[in-house]
Amino acid sequence: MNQKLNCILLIDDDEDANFFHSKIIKKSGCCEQLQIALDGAEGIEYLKSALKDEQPAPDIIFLDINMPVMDGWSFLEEYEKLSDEQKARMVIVMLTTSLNPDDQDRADSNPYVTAFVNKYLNDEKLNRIMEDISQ
Amino acid sequence: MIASKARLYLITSYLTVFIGLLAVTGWFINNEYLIRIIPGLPTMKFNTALGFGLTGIMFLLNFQNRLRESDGIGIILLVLGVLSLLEQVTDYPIGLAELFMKDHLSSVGEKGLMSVATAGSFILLSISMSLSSSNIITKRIIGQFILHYVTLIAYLSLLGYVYGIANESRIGFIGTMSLPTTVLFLLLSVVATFKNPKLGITGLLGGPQPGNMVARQMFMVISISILIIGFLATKLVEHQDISAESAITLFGLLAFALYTGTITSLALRVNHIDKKRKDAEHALQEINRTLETKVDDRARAAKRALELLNETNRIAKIGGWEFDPISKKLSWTTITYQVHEVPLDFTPSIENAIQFYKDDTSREKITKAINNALSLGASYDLELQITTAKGNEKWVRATGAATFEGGKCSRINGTFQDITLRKTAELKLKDERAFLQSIIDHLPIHIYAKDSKDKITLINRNLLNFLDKPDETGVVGASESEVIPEELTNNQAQSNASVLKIYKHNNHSPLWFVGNKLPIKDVFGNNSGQLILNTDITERKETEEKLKHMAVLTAKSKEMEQFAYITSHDLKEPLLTMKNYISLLSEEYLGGLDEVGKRYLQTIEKGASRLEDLINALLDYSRLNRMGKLTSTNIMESLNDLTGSLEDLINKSKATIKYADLPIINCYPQLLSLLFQNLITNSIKFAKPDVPPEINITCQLDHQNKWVFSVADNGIGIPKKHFESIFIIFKRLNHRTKYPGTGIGLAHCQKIVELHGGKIWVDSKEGSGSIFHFTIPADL
Repeated sequence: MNQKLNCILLIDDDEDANFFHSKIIKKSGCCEQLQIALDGAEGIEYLKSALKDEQPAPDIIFLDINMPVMDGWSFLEEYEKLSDEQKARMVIVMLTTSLNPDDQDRADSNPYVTAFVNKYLNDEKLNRIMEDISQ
Repeated sequence: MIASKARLYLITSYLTVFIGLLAVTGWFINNEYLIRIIPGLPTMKFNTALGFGLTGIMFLLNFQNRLRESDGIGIILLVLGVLSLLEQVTDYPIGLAELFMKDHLSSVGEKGLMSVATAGSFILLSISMSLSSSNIITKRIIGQFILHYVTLIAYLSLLGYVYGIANESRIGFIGTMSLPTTVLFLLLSVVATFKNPKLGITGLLGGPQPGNMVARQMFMVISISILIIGFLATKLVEHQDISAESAITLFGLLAFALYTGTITSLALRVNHIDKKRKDAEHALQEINRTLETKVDDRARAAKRALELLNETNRIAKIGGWEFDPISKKLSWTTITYQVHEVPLDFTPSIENAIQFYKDDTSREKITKAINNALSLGASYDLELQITTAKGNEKWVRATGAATFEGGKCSRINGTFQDITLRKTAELKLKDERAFLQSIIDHLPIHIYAKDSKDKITLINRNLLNFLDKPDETGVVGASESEVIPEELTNNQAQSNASVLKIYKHNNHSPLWFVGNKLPIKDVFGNNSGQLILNTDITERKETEEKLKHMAVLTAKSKEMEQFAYITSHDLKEPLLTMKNYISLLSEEYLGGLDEVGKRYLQTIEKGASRLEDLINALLDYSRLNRMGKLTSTNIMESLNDLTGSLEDLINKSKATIKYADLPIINCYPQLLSLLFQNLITNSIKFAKPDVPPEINITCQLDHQNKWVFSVADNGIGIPKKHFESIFIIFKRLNHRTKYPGTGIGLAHCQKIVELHGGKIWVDSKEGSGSIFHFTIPADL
C-alpha cells in the first residue's frame, strides 16, 4: 500500500458521481479526509480558507470540466492566481466524461494538471494515480 | 588622171601619131600638101615627122604604163634629137638629114634637118616623159618643169607666127619651127603635164583653191590677150594705120585695161568667195560651238548618271558581270570583285566563279541557270549562297540574261548583288515566325487572328484540332463566320474578356471558355485586326462545381460527425452512471440476491457493457477524421509494431502472418495501422474452427500509380451477395454469440481507405478464405 494522503478534494457538480467516487476513495483508504465542492468557485473558496481556518489543504484535487457557476477551465485560471503557499504540494487530476481530444490537449498543456482521467474512477485508475504521485 | 584630161592626152597623142604618119607618107608619096599640112608654111621635115610619130607612140605606151617600151622609144627619140642638134650646131655632116628621105623642098642649108628648137623639144620631151613616170618626186618635179619649158618654147614660136614676125627676127633657135610642129609641141607639152597634175604650173592652174582659180583666169587672159592684142597691134602697124610707138602704147593700154578689169573681177570674186567661206566658217563655228555645248552637256549628264549608278551600285553592293561564250572570257565590275572578296588582279572564269557558290545546292542551281541561258536564252534571277575568298558566307542575288545573234548566244551579262543583310534578316524573320507559330501551337489555348475585314490571318494547332481541321488549308484567308462557331467569336461581348459557352457535337455538358480580344495595331498605330484568345476552362468550371458540391458534403459530414460525437458523449455519461451503480450493487448486495436476481443483474450489466462498446465504436468512427499528418511510412515497420501489439491474440489463435517487400508510402500512419489491425483481427476472428489462421499481406503498384494492398486469409469466407454490405456500419453477418463484435470494423476500414483517396473491396468464396484489397494512391 502507498503512503496515506492527508486530504483529497473532489470538485464536481454531479452528486451521484461524488457519492460513487467517495465510496471508491474511502474503500481504498488512501486518505484521511475527503472534501467535496460542487463547482469551481466552491473549490477556490475552500483552498483560500484552508490555510486560515487550519482546515487540511488537499494533496489531490479531482476536477470535473463541465460544471455550472465555474467550470474546470475557469477554476484552473483562478487557481493560477493563488499564492504558492496555497498551491503547495497540490496535484490536480482532470476527471471527466469528455472524450474530446481538444480537452485532453488543453489539459496536457496546463502545468498544474498532472493527469487526465476519464470518468469514472475505479479501483484500478485510483491505484495508478496513487502510484504516480508517490513516485 | 581625170577623165577629161585623159581624153585630151589621148586625142593629142593620136593626133601627133596621125600628123607624123601623114607627113612621113607625104614624103614617101612626094605630096607637098601632106608635107606642109598648111600651105605656104615651111615643110615638116621627114625627121620631124618621124620624131612626132615616135613621140605619139611613146605617149600612148606611157599612158598604158608600158614604161620600158616607152623609155625605149624615148631613147631612139633622144638619139634622133641629139644627132640632129649636133649636126645643126657643129655643121658636121653626119648625114642624118637625108638619111631616110631626100629633101627637095627646102633651101640649101636647111635640107632635111629639123630646127634646133624642134630637136631640143624632142630631147626635152623624151627626158621629161621618162622623169615624169619616176617614183621619186624630185625627178617628177624636174620632168614637169622641163615640160613647161617646152611649152614656153612652143608658145614663143606661136607668138612669132601670130605677130607675123619673120623667121630671122625671132629670138634665137626658135626660128624655123613650123606652125604644126609648134602647135603639136604646145599640145604635147601641156597634156604631158597631166600625168602629174598637182606639180608645177599645171598644179598651180588646176587646183581647186581660190588662188588656183585666180592663177588659171589670169594665165588664160594674159596668154590669150598677148596673142590677140599683139596680133591687132602688128596688123595696125602693117597697114600703117598707126605708128609703131602708138601701137606699143595701145598695146600697153589695152593690156592694162584688160588686166585691171580681170584683176578687179577676180578680186571681187575672191572677196566674195572669201566672204562666203568666212560666213560658212562662222556658221560652222557656231554649229561647232552648239555641238560642243551639247556634247559637253551630254557628256556631263552621262558622267553624272554613271557616277550615280556607281554610287548606287556601291551602296546597294550591286556588281555586274559579262561572259563571252566564244572567247570564254568572264568580266567582273569592281563591286563583283569586292563581293567575292578577291583582289582586283584576280582573273575570273566561269569555272572558278562557280566554285564560290556554297555547297551543291547553290552550285547546281547556278550551273543549270547558266546552261539554260547559253542554250535556250533563258534569263534568271536567283538568290544563292557563296563562300568568299576570305571564307565568309554571303547571300547573293545573281541575275543573268543572254543575248543571241544568228541563233547563237553571243554574250550573257547580269548583276551580282550582296544581299546578305536582307537575306539574313529575312531568314531571321522566318525563324522567328516559325518559333512564334510553334509557341502558339503549343499553348493550351485557342488562338486566332483576323484582319479588319474579318478574314482569318493566323490560327494555332489547338484551335485547328478543336475545329477538326487537319491543317490551315481553307482556314487562313477564310472569313471568320465561315470557320469559327458563333459562340466562340466573342463578337457580341462588350468587354475584352468574357465567358463563352458552347455545346459541341450535341454534347449534353457544355464546354466553357474565357475569351479575350486584343486589338492588333499596324506600324502607324491603326487598328489592323484582332487577336482572339479563348482559354478552355471547362475542367476548371467542372472542378468548381465539384468543389461546391464537396463543400456542401463536407459541411454535412462535419455536422453528422458533431452530432454523432455529442450524442455518443451524452449517451455515455448516464450509461456509465448505470454501470457504476450496477457494480456497486453487485459488490455490496450480491449476497442478498437469489440465483434469479443474480442472473437479472448480470444481464443488466452485460447489456450496459455492450451499449458502452457500441457508443465507443461510434465515437471512434466519428473521430477518424482527426487523422493527423501525411507521413512517409515504412509499412514493413508498422506491421512489425502491429503484430507485436497483437502478440497475445496471435499466439492464442496460433495464427501465422506473412508479409515481405512492402513499400514505404505516404499515408496517415495511425489510421493505416488501425486498418491493418481491423483486417488482421477480422481474419483471426473469422477463421475456420480448428484451422489455424494464415494471413498473407502483399502489395504492388498498378498502372494507375496506386499501391494495391491485399490481405488474404484462409477463413470462412464471405458469400458474394454480401461483398458490398459488409462495409456498412453496424452490419453483422453472424450471430453475436458465435462471432462477437460491434459490426463497425469494416466500416472503419472503408472510411480509412477513402480518407486516403483509395478504394476497398473483397474477393472471396464461401468456405475458402477471403482477400481484402485496398488501394492507396502512390502520389499522395
